[in-house]
Amino acid sequence: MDLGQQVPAYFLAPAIFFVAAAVFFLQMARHLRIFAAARPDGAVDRTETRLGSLFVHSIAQSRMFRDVRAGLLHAAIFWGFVALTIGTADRVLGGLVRTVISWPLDGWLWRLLLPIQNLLALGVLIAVVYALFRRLVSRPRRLTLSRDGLTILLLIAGVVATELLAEAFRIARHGDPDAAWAVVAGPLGELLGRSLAPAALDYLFALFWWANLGLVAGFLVYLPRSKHLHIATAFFNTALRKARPRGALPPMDLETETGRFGVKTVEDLGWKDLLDGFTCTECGRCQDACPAWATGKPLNPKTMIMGIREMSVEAEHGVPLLPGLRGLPELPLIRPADAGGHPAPAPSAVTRGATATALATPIVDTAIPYDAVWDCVTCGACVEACPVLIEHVDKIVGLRRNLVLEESRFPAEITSAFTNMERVGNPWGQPASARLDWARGLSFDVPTAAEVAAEGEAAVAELECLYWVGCAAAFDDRNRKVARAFVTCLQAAGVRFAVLGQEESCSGDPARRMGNEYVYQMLATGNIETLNRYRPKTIVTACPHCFNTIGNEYGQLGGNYEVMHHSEYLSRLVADGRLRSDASGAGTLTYHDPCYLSRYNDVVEAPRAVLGSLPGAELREMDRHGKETFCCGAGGGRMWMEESRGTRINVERTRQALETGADTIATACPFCLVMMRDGLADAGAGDGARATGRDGVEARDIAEILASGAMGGTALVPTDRRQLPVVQPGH
Amino acid sequence: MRIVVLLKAVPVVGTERLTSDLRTDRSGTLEANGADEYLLEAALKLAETSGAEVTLLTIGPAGATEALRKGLAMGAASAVHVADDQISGSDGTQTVELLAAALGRLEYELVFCGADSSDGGGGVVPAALAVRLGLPYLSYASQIEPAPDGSSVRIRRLNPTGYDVLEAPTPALVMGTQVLGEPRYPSLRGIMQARSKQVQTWTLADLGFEPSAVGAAAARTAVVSAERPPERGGATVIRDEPDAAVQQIVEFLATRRLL
Repeated sequence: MDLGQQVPAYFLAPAIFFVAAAVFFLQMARHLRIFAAARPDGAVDRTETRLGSLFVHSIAQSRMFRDVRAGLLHAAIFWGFVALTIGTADRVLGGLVRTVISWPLDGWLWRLLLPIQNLLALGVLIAVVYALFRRLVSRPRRLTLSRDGLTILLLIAGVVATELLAEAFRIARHGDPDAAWAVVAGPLGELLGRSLAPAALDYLFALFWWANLGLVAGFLVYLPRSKHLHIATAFFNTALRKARPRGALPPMDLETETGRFGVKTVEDLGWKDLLDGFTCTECGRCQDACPAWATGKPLNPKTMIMGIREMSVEAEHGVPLLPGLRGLPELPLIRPADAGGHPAPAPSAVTRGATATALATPIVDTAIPYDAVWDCVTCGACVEACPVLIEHVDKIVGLRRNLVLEESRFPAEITSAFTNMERVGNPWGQPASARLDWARGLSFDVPTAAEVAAEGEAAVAELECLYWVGCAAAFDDRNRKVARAFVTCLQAAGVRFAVLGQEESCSGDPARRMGNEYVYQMLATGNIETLNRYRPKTIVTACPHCFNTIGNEYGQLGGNYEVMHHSEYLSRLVADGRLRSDASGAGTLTYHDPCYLSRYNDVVEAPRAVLGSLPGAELREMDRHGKETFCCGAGGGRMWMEESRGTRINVERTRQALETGADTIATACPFCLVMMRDGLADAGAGDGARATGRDGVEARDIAEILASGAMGGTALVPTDRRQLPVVQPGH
Repeated sequence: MRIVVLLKAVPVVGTERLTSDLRTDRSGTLEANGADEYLLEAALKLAETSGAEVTLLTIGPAGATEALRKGLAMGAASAVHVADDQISGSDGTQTVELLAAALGRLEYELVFCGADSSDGGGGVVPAALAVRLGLPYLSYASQIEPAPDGSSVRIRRLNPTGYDVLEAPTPALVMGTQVLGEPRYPSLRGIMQARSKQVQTWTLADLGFEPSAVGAAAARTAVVSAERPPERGGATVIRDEPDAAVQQIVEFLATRRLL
């Protein structure tokens, strides 16, 4: 086959293609020049993990298949496009690709490729029709209907259809020894060859061939300005994903940071944040997953990411496509860094005009409304839902950091939470002297670490764990019962434990997630100092927020500990036969996964194992459970904010829980517990309803459910099968 | 316009303890007295709108510096800390004498302070200080408006039917209430700037006081006893149908002649 003879004016084809490719790369380079004005964003390490992520998320596209129909549709277009690219490359390289592929195995490789390519092309066309149907007819709420989206779909269909038709006419006019393998173009070509005159075949072949090339060139020129750009950026975005534990917010140096605290403008974002923007396809899975959006609040994670992308594109308006063109000053590729490794403010001479204006525009109230910044519960449902691993939560916390640390601009009601954490080390504003009040009246002692240390080395060595009580369990009446239940379980299992008592402070999680890094670091460094004094083997806590912050974030400040959530600890005690429960009245349960336990830290099975150990308990899962759980509404410091916009998140989650028909909403987080209890009261199904004769549904912590029938494991206390103090709700 | 805000450093609310001789234990963490912070906020607003210069003045142990640092982080320009071990044990009258002496070394048109402190709670200092210095005394201000030239000041004071407007020439002493507005939360930038702001420390000698003139031995009032309030009794929780619950609550109140 000789393209030069078959295609009129073929010599122009490679030229047109490569000019289009050059325009594509120049536009991409312009994106990168704005990236260069952003902050450095962590080292690219852990190559194997990154390659794994690239494979799982970009090649296998695992998250796309959570919505099976969308997954299949997307896979058809993706693989069709890959196969198509081989054909395109062959045409613009004068048949080189076919020649190379046909070389080994006597051309069998090419013959094998042909039917795959042909069938995938058909698949693409069907998928495009389905995609158009979704956008124009069935219209799932998460999809944005835009001209860009329709343009891209029609371009894809056009490229595929013209290629297939050009192939068919080529086979019809010139024949092909492998025509039998082209399962679509072959028979079609045969049919056309029989029904049309050679001159018509010549004409139509040239028409479709050139139409195909024109569309391919147009696609390349258009792509960098389209949300479809993810076909180029997703590979990088999935490979360059955040490598920290998901529950760890970016570290922040409050002492040497001379420039900006937190994120105010596009310039304060990292290049990975900008790459996130260019990887977003507006698919809306984040929007679908967002509890704030679901309850009618102004926060929409999708529009925030797209807004950041638009701001980044806006900044390019001052930058010419060709460096040096129009005599405009250029952006430097790398911003000079100061001694602390942070970029110095960009020199004014390099960021002039539109670029400077765009780079100086605050993100708040441009890409995201001010209220929406505070609506976020940092539950991470958006991050979990995103097929291309965009990180929404870190950006929102970055914006909060700037609002709090630089502008003191935040909802008025959290002032007292901030000052309480600063003054007395907990958001409730209770004195440290009340930290052990929850343990009053227990039938056994709850020793403090200081008391155990005073007993000497031997006593310290015997300690199995340090129970980190957390402020909620120490000061909130409802959660004090959870603390009592948990230590009852520890006591029943014969675990030697201690608590910090007055030496404990808030872990800092609420401060950090509300953007107050100053108060967070103050609390965290104090706690690290205390913990380092006692060097506990294992820290156990019933609070997923303390669990996440101590386990995943204290390392940034030099505190490295082994931390377990009480669900893990209890499930181990049960598995080891040290603890068993005959809480036979457990009945039907549904388990509400706390975000910071399941989504952020993969603790999904342990709490279910605890509930599963109860005789006769029946677990009824909600639709959204495990890593796809729906927030209770209290995360990200929302516990201390008024929920004045939209409907209440806890009411929505309670509704989902009640739908299961379970008698008990089990949970494993002090905030979730309070929110579910309030949600039940709101639904008229709460604790108080039981006395009225209506079906009373209760929210209880897994430790409470276990403790209501906890007995020492028979292996440990074979003779003494005593019933331990029962912790009843309502006392 | 120069404003001196009297900012007492008190034990963190909720952590107050008495020493064995029945005085407030000031060895723990101290914070700015809440009632004074409303006045600091009012002064800082004036600093923003009319360029007033705000100076903080406190008498207290070394730990009082924390309260001053916070005030400086909120935006005060400078601070004076009267600190001397001999002062411990002084009563309200001596506090007024010390404040008067310290104010004598400062230049001001207005002195602001809260109604009382969250620890001692005597509430005598504002009025007594005004008398001692011979200043007009404007109490319970809910709004403070100095004249543009600083020669006089107007305040609003809430009364049962609305508010009174009072005016006095400066220098004057203004005691205000929480109606003035919530104190601002210092930004990190403010906290960092506060580190380089000046806190002057004055001793008794600086103020020209003899050690024997202050302290417990010289105090003219003494606390003779202090009692803890009794623990609150158990609450009665009524769980019933709304109508039945209301009936029980009404009976409960009626038997105690509360209805």
